[in-house]
Amino acid sequence: MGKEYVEKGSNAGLDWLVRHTKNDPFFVSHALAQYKAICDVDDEHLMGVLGCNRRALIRLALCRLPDDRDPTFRQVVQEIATFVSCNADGLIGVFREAAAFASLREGTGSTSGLLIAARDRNAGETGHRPNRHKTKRPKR
Amino acid sequence: MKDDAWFVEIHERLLGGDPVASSELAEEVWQTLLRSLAEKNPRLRGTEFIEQAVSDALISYIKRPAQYDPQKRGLFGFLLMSAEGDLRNALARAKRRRGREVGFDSVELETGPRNIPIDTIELSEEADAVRRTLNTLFADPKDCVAAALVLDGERSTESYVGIWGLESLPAEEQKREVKRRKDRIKKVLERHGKGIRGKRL
Repeated sequence: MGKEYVEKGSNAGLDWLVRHTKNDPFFVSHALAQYKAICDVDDEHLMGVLGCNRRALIRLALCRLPDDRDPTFRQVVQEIATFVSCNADGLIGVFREAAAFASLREGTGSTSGLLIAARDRNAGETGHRPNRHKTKRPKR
Repeated sequence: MKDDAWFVEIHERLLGGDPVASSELAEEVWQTLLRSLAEKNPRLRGTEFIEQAVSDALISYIKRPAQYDPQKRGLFGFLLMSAEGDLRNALARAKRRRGREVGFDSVELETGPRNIPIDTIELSEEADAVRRTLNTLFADPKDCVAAALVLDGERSTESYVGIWGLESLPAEEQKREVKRRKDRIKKVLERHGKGIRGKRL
């Protein structure tokens, strides 16, 4: 029996699309995937960080990833958080962590994302932190 | 389904870089596109070809909304047409690959598409560029899809019959009509020159 595509209007089935966008930096799903890899956490943990349910996580993943160097970054994140009903500060923390990781991995010498992530962390902005002893840190 | 005004608005928002428009659009059209494409290709139900094609079409549009011309057709119709094109390209590629793997050409793809890892079907940036070019060369989206298949080396009459909706014609007439239309497309492609010739989708 083939699949039935009947759940119009819900985001059922969109997890398939989310999986296929996680390597695409255009989408938030890319940052979420990076964050999960860096912090070695799963979706459940991420939902705790963001204060949202699975449906919101899928909606979030398919949003456009904002540029953390853009002056309107916080405003855009707030807009996304309002749309998906999640914690905006938690979301900023996730984006900053992912951006910091990307900066390190690219080896561009651009440390703005990393510094901002560190600053956010010191300010306790993210509120809900991942399990630090599980966090993978890049070698210096 | 949302009304036309909603689709016009979501298109404008995507053009403007709205960060949540992509998610809203995906949520609205994903299931409907899957269902529509599966209804048109019942033998592919239960395979990942359908999801892959819809996903490719949707992501391509979300990232480059300017490729859609609202003057030509509705957005949902455009996405469905685009997904159909991606599906046919993926099937043609899979068929060729299978032909190479087993060493003969008469493989019936539809008998076992589940065996083909979907992650081996890659749509490159170049393919997107070619598709955008085709959109400028052919006013009719069906011709765009057919031109993509021509460039991809697809020779099966059935593929073109499906694209142009010629199923009701007698077999001989189908052949003639497909040939006539393919010749017209080839002429346009020839006129366009080397910029597109030899590209593979």
